[in-house]
Amino acid sequence: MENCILAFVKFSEDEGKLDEQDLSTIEFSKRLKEATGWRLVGASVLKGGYEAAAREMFSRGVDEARLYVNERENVGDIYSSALLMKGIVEDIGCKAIVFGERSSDTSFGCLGGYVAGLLNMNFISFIKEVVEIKDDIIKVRTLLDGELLLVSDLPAILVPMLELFPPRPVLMRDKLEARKRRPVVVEAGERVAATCFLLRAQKPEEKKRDPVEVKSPEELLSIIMKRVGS
Amino acid sequence: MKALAVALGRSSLKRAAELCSASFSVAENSSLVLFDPEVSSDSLGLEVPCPFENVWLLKREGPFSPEQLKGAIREIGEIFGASAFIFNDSPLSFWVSSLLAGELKIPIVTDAVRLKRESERIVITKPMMNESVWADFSVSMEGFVAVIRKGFPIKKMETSVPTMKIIDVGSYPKKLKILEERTADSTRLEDATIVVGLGDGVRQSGTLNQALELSKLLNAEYACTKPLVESGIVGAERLIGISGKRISPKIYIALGISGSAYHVAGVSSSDTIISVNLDRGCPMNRLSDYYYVGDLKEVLPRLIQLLKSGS
Repeated sequence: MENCILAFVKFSEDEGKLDEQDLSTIEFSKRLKEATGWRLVGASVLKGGYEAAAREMFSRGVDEARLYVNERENVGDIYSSALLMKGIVEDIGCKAIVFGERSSDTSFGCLGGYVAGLLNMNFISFIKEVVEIKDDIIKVRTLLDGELLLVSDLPAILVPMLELFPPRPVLMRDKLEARKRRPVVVEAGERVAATCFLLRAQKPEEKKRDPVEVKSPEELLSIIMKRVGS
Repeated sequence: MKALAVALGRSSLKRAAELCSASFSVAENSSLVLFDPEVSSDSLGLEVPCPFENVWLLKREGPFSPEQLKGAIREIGEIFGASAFIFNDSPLSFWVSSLLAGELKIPIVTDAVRLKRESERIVITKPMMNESVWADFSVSMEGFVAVIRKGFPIKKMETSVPTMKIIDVGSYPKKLKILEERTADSTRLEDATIVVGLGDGVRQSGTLNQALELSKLLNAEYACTKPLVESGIVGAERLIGISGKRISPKIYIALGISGSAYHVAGVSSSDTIISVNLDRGCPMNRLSDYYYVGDLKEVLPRLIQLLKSGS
């Protein structure tokens, strides 16, 4: 295993812009890099817009941008996405692998766990704080029903609580520097057959909230009391 | 087809009825696996409002690792012959369900609001694109994992007296070493009827104390958004959002909350959402049932005064 950090991120399809939440994935990864001095590799599976995507990654502190070209997307099929990422994890061989919670657009932090399950790799989610990372271990605090302080051997797949790692602003100097660098563009290969298919989309059945403006604190309190049944 | 309903985390027993409805909407037979730190075999009793065949109560002595839960659930699934694993919506469930699905190489769909059987396939409905559409996904009956959203529609089911089995989670292998475990503070966010959400507007207006007083007077719990955690005003255990802690109270009162996608994902299952914000056009107002446009420095003291005077 190499002393490096592999961060999976997602880009919006049209503009080559990093997913807003994955800005925090990069931030978390950057903090790991600062704590260890390890190389930070950013990886993403996308259909196009490589130049913009690479610039975005480099300007945010990624040392190496690897862009996996895949024309086909199986919406909602974590299995085929996870297999693709399993291959990337094995290929690059970093000690710390970071997934954002929305590295897949239809799951909440499930992709990282799924890849860990496929690889039988250590998995830590809901990371609040990295207490220590060195050599072959990582010590973190996670938030589940309470707080856990735990240690894991590396390699491990890590999913931070993105809200707790707000991205730092990008400096003009870093933006300019990013323009000089080139990503590694890799043909991702054919995805395996999907195990989950999008059949159709429809209007939500749930009640649509139809906001009503309340005119006074008195009315507001009256609504609260009525709703609570007291 | 058999489904294993899995309730993990504090207050997860309260989700048993939702899990029951979800399981029996696709399977002929279902059993429940329960890991709730607040439930013992004595307090659970034997009657549950669902025709579950078995109830497996996962117990632990001392610290546990989520992967041990995954090991136990996988084994129970094999014993029971389950091809569907249906989880409640909790941070622990997200952790365990994704590991299990990956290990079994079966599809996983989170945030499910409906499940149904359509001839030889299972159709799982989930909201997408910021709740603007509901998407139907098809998975095979041979095996899948679904995580259902809080508030999944409950169907009235007959009561059964299931066989109770107790399993020690500690006997399953783990790779993570737990050094310290701090139980959650007194937050009862998952159980609260009323939750008062504190947003950056509370910090900026300097009305934190009044907001907390209002919460106390309403017998509510309080939650917060990212800026309050970042500034160290409120502990991260009260952070509501996309990271997993999601709530479904009867009333959610958003004070000075702009309504970022992060936060809204965590409160959208609330019965009634009330927003108080100075900014009329903020997304939280648009996503609420009722909104009041006003300065927290004026609104909160008035609400407190009204509550104290019993008006």
